Amino acid sequence: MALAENYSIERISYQMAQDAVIANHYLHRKAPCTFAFGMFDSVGQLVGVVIYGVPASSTLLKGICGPDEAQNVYELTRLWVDDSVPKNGESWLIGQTLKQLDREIVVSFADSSADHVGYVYQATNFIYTGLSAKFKDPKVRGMEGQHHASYANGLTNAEVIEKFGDRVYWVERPRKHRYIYFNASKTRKRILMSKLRYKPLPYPKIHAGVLEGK
Amino acid sequence: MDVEELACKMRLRAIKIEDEIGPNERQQHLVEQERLEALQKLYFNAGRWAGGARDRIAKEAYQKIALGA
Repeated sequence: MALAENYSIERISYQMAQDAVIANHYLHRKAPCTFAFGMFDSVGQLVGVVIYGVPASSTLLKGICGPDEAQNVYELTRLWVDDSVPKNGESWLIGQTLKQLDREIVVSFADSSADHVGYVYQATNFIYTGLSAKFKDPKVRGMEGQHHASYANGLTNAEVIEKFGDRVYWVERPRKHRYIYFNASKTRKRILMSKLRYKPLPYPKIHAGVLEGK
Repeated sequence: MDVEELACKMRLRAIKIEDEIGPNERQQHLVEQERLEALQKLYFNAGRWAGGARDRIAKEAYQKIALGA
């Protein structure tokens, strides 16, 4: 059992997780982080990180299973596993860490603009619920490093313009494949499934470069 | 990138790949993809067992891997 013998998984600090994703994840950006776990090889080198955090968007929190479950949602915000780890290392890392979370709904997104369809989520039994909505995010000149939800949360577009004036410009948000996992007992899974506000859809696949339903 | 633009880019790439590879290679690719997916699923469930989940699916996956899958 090479993965279990050669790699260990432990909870790691916020700083260690952020440093690893900034250095290695394709986005090279910090992410919301409440729980972070690292995968270490036999000599103690960090070779993988998974980060779970509270999504910045209140719309997303309420939108999955309704306002009653808004405080029951984490987002898998970053997943990075070094190329030296066998391919199934990603699913091993997710599988081992889910049980340690204190919330039952886990949402994650695969970035279609980076040609990702989320095979790892498909292989790990996440429910596919389609692409995120087409949307333009307000950006503010001088605050480019911040997520729009941190300075525009709860504000309407008109209020953002009123607050930041002509520093506001608009950027089209890349659409992402949305995956949801119910990290709960069978009974709770059934309840959460009945509350799910998105329609479960067949997994998207890329066959010979073409994006299509399964 | 817009999803329509992405889809168009993928279709063009598919046409190019279709010209380059034969049906046998395509079939092999699909078989390989399915094999990898099944392996990922197995390791996900085994990982759940290692992480403390105690359901039958997780237990069976862990045992299967322990036996050398």
